[in-house]
Amino acid sequence: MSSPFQKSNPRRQKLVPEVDVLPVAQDKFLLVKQDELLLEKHPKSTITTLESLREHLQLAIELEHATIPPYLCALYSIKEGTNLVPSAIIRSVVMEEMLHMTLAANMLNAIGGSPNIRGELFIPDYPTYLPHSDKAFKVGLGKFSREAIETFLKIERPAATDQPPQAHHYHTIGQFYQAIRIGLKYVEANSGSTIFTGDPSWQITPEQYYGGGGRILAIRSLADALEAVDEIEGQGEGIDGTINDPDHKLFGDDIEYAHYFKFNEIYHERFYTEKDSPQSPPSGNKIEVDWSGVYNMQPNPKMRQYKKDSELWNKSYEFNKAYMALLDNLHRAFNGKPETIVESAILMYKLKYLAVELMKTPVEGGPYTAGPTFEYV
Amino acid sequence: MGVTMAPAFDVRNYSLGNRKELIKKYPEQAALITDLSKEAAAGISEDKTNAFLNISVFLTGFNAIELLGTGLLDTYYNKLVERAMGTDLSLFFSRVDEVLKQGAGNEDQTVSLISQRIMADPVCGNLAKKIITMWYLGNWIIDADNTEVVSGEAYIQALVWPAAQTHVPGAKQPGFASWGYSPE
Amino acid sequence: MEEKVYDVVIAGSGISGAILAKTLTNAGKSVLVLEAGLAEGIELDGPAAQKTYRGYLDRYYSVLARVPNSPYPAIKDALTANVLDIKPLKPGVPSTVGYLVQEGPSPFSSDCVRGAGGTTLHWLGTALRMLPNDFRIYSNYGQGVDWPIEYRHLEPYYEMAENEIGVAGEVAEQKIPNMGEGFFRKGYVFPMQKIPQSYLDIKVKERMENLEVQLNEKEYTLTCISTPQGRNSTPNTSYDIAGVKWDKAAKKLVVTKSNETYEPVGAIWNPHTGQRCEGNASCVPICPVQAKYNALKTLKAATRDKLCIIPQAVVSNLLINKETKAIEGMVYKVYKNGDSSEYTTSIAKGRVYVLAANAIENSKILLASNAANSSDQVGRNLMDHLVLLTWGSFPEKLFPYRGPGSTTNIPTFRDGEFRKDHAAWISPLDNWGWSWPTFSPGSDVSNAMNQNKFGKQLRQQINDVISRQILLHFECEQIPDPENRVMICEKYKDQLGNYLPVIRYSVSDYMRRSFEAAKKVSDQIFKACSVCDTTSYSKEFDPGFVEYNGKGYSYRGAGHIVGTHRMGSDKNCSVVDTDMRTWDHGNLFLAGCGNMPTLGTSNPTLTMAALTFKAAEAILNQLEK
Repeated sequence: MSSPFQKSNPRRQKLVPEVDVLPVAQDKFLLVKQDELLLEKHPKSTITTLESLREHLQLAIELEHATIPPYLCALYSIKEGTNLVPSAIIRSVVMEEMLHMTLAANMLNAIGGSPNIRGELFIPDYPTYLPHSDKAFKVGLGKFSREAIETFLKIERPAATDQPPQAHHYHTIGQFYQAIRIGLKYVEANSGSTIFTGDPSWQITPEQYYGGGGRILAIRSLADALEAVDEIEGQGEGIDGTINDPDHKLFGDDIEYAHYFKFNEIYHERFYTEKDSPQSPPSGNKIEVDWSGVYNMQPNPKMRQYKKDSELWNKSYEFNKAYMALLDNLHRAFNGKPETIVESAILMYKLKYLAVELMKTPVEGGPYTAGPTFEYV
Repeated sequence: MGVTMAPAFDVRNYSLGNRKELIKKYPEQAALITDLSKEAAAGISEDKTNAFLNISVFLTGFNAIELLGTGLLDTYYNKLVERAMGTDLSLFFSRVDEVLKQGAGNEDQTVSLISQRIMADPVCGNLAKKIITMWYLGNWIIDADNTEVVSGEAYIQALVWPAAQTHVPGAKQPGFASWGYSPE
Repeated sequence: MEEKVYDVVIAGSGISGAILAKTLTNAGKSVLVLEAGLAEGIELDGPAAQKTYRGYLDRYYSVLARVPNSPYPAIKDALTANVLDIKPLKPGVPSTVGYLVQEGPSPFSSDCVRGAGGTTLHWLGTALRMLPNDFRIYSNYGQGVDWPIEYRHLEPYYEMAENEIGVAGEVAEQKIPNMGEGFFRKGYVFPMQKIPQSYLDIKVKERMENLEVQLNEKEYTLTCISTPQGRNSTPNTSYDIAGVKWDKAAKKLVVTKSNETYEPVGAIWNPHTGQRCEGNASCVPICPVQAKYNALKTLKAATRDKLCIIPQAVVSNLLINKETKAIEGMVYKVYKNGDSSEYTTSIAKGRVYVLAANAIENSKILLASNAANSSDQVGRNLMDHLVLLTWGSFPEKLFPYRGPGSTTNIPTFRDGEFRKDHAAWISPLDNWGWSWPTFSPGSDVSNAMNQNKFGKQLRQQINDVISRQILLHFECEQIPDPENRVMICEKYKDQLGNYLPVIRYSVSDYMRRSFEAAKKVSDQIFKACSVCDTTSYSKEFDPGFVEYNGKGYSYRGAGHIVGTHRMGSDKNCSVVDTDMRTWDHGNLFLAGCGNMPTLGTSNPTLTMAALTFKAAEAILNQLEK
C-alpha cells in the first residue's frame, strides 16, 4: 500500500495514490507495466505525441486559470474582518492554482512549447463547464456561499483508484493530470533523445515566486516535470475518497490538505482532526463562518447589462482592462521574460481593489451589488 | 404607548445624539422621543441619502461610483444626521436641493452655485467641510478642538490617498516592488 | 512550594530577550522569560496569534493619532513612553504627563513598546552596522568614549544578527566613508536582495547624486545608497547561512551553512503571509502582514518545550546575596488584567539572570535593587538619535506615501574629521512625505478647508501638494553625557508600586552644532533640487525646540534608547564587561541597547542583536563550566 502522501513532501496529501508500486529509483522515469496496461485499456486517454502533450499542458494552464475567477469572486465577496479562516483557506487554494498554472507553463516551456495566455478564447464565459471536462456541472462567478463551496467541492473532487487517467472528458482533474504524467513518460521514452529542449532562461524560478501555494520548480528534465506534476497532484483533489488507511495520519496540524478537504472544512464549519477519515466530514474544532458576512454580488454579471459609458460600465471596463493587463503580464512572464512576474502581484492587488469596489456598488433596481465580470476587452 | 403629545421643545433644535439628554430632561416624552425617525428628529422631512450622494460628488471631486465604491455612503450619511444640529441639517439640505435643481446638470454652473450658496454660507459651508473631511479622512469634526474617527473602515476608505495617487497606510497595499514605479 | 530553578531567567521578550531565549533553548537550556505585556501578546501560533495581531491592526485603524505606539494596548500596570506625552518643558517643573517623569531641561523624545516582541513591533526595520570609527570616537575625535571592543570583534555576530532578522540589502552598494577593507567578509551577501528603491528615491537621486556641498570650508560629495533593512524581499540565491548553532566543543556560536535557498520568514500565524513586503507603507507603527521582522518570529523559533513565558509579569527588583553578591532571584509582579492594580508577587530563580527589558527598564530595575552600580554609571549616558527634519515641495511629482518608510540613505556624513566639532549623522530619504513634522495629509485637507476649496479643485490641490512632498531627515549621533540619565525617586511610582523612570536630559552644543551643519547641508540640497523649502521650527509648539547661534532648531527622537548600562574595560566607569556580564554580579547579564557605550549613526537594533549573540555565547560558556 503506497503512501497517501507525496514522496517529495511527506506532509502533503497526494492526488491519487501511485499506481506503480515499484521502488522509485528503479522505475520512476520509465513507463511501468501498469501504465502500459492502462494505456491498453483506455487508448483514448493516451497522450502519445509531443504535439498532443504540448496541447494538453496548454489545456492544463487554461484549466487552472478557469477556476481562479470563481475562487477570487468568493474570496473578494467576503467582507474585510469577517470569516478569517474561510478566507485564508480560499486564498491558499487560489495561490496553489496560480502555482499550478505557473508549473504547467514551466513544463510547457521546458518541452519547447509556448504558453498562450492571451486571446478571447482563453477567457471562459461564466457560467461554464470546465475546459474539456465531461460537462457534469457548470462553474460561475458568485459570492461566498454554501452553493459556491458545493461547486468548489465538485471541482476538486478526489479521483477514485478505479477511474482511469483521462485526457478528454475527464470526470475529475486528477484523471487529467494522471494522463499528463503518463504522457510525459511515454513521449520522452519514445522521443529518441529528449523532449526537454526549451530555453532554460524562460523558466520561472523559485525565488521569483512567493506567498504560498508551494514550491516552484524550474524544469529541465523529465525528473523535474514529474516532480512538478507531483506538486500539482499533491495539492489538487486530495487522496482517494475510498482509501481508509489506518497506518497513516491523514489529517492534523502539520499536514497540508488537498483542496477538496480544505473546502470541506469550510462547508462543514469544522477543522479535520487526526482521528477523521476522508469519507466522513471533519469533526474537530469549530470554524467561525459567517455566511452573511458577504457583499451580495450578482451572480455572473456581464458588462452588457450596463449602459455603455455609464459610470458602472466604465468601472467594469476598468476592472476588465486590469484583468487583461494581468494576463498580458503573465503571458510575457511565461514567454521569455520571467522576471516580469514581479509585476503580476501588483496587478493582482489592483484587481482585488477594483473587484471589491464593484462589489460594494449597488445595481439599480435589485438587491444585488455589481461585481467583477472577468470578460475579454 | 400610543399617546401623541406635542413635545414641549422643538426637536429640530437638537441633534440626534442628544436624544438621551432629551429623554432625561423630558422623561414623560421618552416614548415619543424614542419613536422619532432619524430624519424627523434631524429636522429633515425624508431620507436624503441620494441628495447626500449627489452633493458629495460635487464637494469631493470624486464621481458617484468612486464614492459608492467605498461602501460608506450610509455610514457617512448616518453620521451626519446623527451629529449635526437639526436646524443646520434642514437648512443644508434645502440649500442642496435648490442648488442641484438650479444647476440642472450643468457642472460649471452647479460648482459656481455651490461656491456662493453653500461654501460661503456659515452654516452650510461648515457642514460641507465636515462632509468633505469625512470622505477625505474618515474623520468627523466635532468642533475646533475635537475630532473623532468615524470608524476603522472609514480610515481605510479615506479618499485623500487616492487623491494623492497612493493608498491608505496599513491597508490596500499595492504589492511588492510597486513603490518603485510611478503610479501613472 | 519548590520554585523551579531555570538555567536562565530573562526579563523581557523583545529582540534581545527573544534571541537569548532561542539561542539558549536551542542549545538545550531551560529558559524562563518574564514579559510585562498582556497574555494575548505572547500567542505565537495560528488563529490565536492572528487574532491578537488583528486587534492591534483594528486599534490602529480606529485611533485618531497614529503614533508609533498607537496599535498596541496601553497597560496601566505596565506603562510605557508615548510620544503623545512629550510636551515643551517648563524650567524647574518636572513633567508628569506620561510614564517618563521628565526633569529636563530638554524632553527625552522617544518611545518604546512594552509588550511581547518589544519595540520591534513598531520599528522601521532599518538594519545598519556601526562603522569601525564609531567604536573609537574618543581616540579619533576626542569625543565620548571608546568601546572596549572593535568593529572586527563584532563582525561575525553581525552576520548572525542579519540572519536572525532577515536583512534585505545590497552589499556591493554599501559605500560608506572610512568603512575600510573587509567591512563585509569577502563574498558575503545579505539573506535577501535589497528592497526595491522607491520612485521618490530615483527622482531625488537624479538631481542630487554626486552633488558637492560645502560645510565649514570643506567640500563633501553626496551619494545615495540603498538601505539594508529587516523586511522580506527576494531571496539571495548566493546566501548560504542557515542559522546559528552552539558548538559545545569549540565553546562558541557558529553559523551553519545551507544549500537551500533562503526562505523569508513570514507572519507567525501563517508562514505564507508576508513573504515579501507588500507596500503597506505603515511599517511604523505596524506591518499588517509581518513582512517586517519582529521578535515574535524569533520566539516562535525557540525550542518551545524548553521555554516558559510568563506574561503580565513585571519585574520589580533583584534579590542579591549579601556575601557573594550573586543574584538569588528575580522578583516579579503578575497583574491580573492590566488595569487592576491587583497583582501577585513571585520570585523567579535561575542559574543565570538576564535583564532584557530595554535601556530604561533595565536601569530602573538595577537602581531599585541597588545592583550592578559600583561604577555609578547605571542609568547614566542616556542617548538617542536626535532627528532634524527639513521639508519642502519638489519641482516634480515624487508620489510619497508609498513603500517602506525609507529605502535609500545619504551616508556622506556618517564619519569624518568634523566629528571633532559636531555630531555625525545619517540622512535617510523618507518616503512618507511631511507626515512626521506637519501631520500631513490631515493638515493638507484642513488647510484646503480653510481656503474653502471643494470639488475637483480640492482634489487637484490635494494631489499637487501631497505628491510633491519631500522630507529630509538628519539622524544625529548623541554623544554620552553622564548627566543625561534615568533615575528613580520614591515620589514617583505606578499603581503596582514599581518606580516610574525619572529622566534628566539636555542637548549639548556639540549636538546643536550638528543641527546647524545639517540645516546648511539641507539648504544646499534643496537648492540643487529646486525644492521650495517650507521647513519651520516652532518655539511654542515643538517640545524639542533649541537655539544655537541665534537660530532655532527642533529635534525629534528617533526611538533609539541607548547607553544606560554601558560596556567597558574598566569596572569603575562601566556596568558590564565585553561579555555583557555585570562587573558586580557574576551571574547577572544585561542585554539590549543599554550596553552600547556610543551610538554611531546606525539604528541600534542590529548592533544590539549582534551583542546579544555575543552575550548568549558567554552565558552558554558560563553554564557549561
